Amino acid sequence: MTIDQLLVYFFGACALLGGVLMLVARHPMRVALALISCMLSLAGIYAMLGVHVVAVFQVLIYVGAVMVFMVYVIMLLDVRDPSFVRRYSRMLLPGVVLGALLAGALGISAIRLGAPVIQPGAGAAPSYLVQPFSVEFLREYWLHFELTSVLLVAAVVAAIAIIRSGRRSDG
Amino acid sequence: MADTQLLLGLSFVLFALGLVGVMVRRNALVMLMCMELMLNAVILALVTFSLETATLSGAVLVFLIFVVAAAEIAIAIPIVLQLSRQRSSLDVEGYDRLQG
Amino acid sequence: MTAPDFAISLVYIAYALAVLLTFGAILTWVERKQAAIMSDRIGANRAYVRIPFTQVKLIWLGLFHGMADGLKLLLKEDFKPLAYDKLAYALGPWLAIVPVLLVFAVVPFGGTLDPGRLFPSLAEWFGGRTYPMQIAPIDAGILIVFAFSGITIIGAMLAGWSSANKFSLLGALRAGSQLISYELVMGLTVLGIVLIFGTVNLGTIVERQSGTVLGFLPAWGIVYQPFAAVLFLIAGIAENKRIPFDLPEAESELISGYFTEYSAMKQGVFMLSEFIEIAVIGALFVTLFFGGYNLPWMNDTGFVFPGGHAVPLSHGWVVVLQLLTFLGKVFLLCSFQILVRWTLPRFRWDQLLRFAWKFLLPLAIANLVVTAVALWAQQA
Repeated sequence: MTIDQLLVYFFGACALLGGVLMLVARHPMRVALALISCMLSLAGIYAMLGVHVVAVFQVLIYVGAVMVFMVYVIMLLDVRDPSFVRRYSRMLLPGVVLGALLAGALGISAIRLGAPVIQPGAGAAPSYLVQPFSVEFLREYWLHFELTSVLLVAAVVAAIAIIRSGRRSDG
Repeated sequence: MADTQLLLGLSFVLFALGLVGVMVRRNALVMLMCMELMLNAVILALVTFSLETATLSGAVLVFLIFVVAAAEIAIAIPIVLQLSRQRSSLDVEGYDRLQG
Repeated sequence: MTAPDFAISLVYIAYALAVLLTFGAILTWVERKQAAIMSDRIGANRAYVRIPFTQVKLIWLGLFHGMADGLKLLLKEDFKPLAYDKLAYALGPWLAIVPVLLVFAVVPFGGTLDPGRLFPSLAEWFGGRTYPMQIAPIDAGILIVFAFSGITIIGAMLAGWSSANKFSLLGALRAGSQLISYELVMGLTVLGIVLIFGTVNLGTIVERQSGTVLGFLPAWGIVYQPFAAVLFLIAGIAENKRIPFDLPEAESELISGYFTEYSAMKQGVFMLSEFIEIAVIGALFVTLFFGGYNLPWMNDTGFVFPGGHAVPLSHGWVVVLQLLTFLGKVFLLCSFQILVRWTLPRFRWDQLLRFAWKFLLPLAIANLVVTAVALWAQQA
């Protein structure tokens, strides 16, 4: 077992621990910290697998933007409400049972599926360095790229609309 | 490859944990964060499949998921803010009136 | 990873840590002395070291004040506020200082090192390998810089929120919104340089700055993109939370801002991280816009002056010259940042955000558009 494999297992264990802590912690800020550690461990897994570009963007976008926004909002909304005292809803037992069933079903289907089929003649393995990846990305998937920019514009307009409607209902 | 099965297993367990979290927790922000955990699990599965089949489309879809997750968070958090201002609480059990 | 690779990595890490921590310590002295010179006064010169068994007191222009400050912070009482979030309070200083040190891992502080030529007795152990003088020659250099700067934001916000103090919370809110806004501006200004040099790898960017443009000017980033250089420097000073963008720790408004409730060495860690980040922002500016570790018209083999006249240098001289040039340029940038700090007053909060979103961001986008159009017209 090389040190690379050990590191992948270590990051996997950290991600799993972060996920479990997310369900158990009481304060939303602790949940956010657990999620940040889970995301950083996943970025470590991607880096160990050689997919550097996804690892860097995971930290940049998820930890550096999405989780910063989440931590900011948790800071702002530190209301002492009943959800601090009673963490779990009425669905605790059915939820856990269903989760275990789902994980079991997915695991069994994965074991039964076996190795995926690699199409013959698919060409060389793709390079996940920044320049070859971005050239391939924009050569074949430029339409998806443009559509995501439309999605982002829609998200900006929607966010402004929500904030303005909230302001109108306040006054 | 045992590595692939382990990573896929991790992705499934994280997805199940995220789903259980959305069902089980009462705080609206914690439910949002469990949804982010589900998206992260899907990204791990996509990266694993992209490496297994030696194609690029998995990693491209990962980038699209980044964009979608950012857009979703940008809208979901203002919605939760407005909701919490209405009921002055983040407890989703209290959002039980479909009026106003 | 073979043994020579590991040894070289250890040497690089030791060098980087030594450089960063020395800069962090020296910059406290430079700040006081430069401020004193700028305001026509003497500065702090009371701390002395007495040579034992004599009455000779060494003052050395106030250099020992840094040592005295460090000792004071180490020996102070370590109090904690009563009602606070223990985990986030403990994590705050870590998340504030570790990413700042990690960003330096992708900055090239020298050209290519060929240890076989420098130490001929060890040549067969190294086997003719050459190493770029970066701790981590990763392909996605600039992206890693921005990724780690994002983690610093979380550290500042956690530190301010976890102390049960309204002033700290205000400082944390200000820090979060300010750092997010100016990190966006920093990212957009760097895109012009990425377009011109065609890569995000910091080592390659410095290598491509060793030519000439228009026949006689060194092909530095500041020659290609002077406007973006100014914007990057402004955004970098704002990322560092220094005056004039000092509101998260505004001394006259918020006691000490987001690290009010941190005493002794925990505040020392925050201060140290701020001073190390001065050096890191300087190093990034030098790498992207100022030619990196090379003197004008110099590359890995020696000087190539415009007009074709070449002056070859031996490898040892090239390595030493590159290391010293990098340190000198970073020191110049740090000195410039201290100059700005002691000259300008502080922004007001709404002025600061309006400056970022309504002034710097449109200018950065305009710079990017002009660069893209100019490059496309040149290629057509």
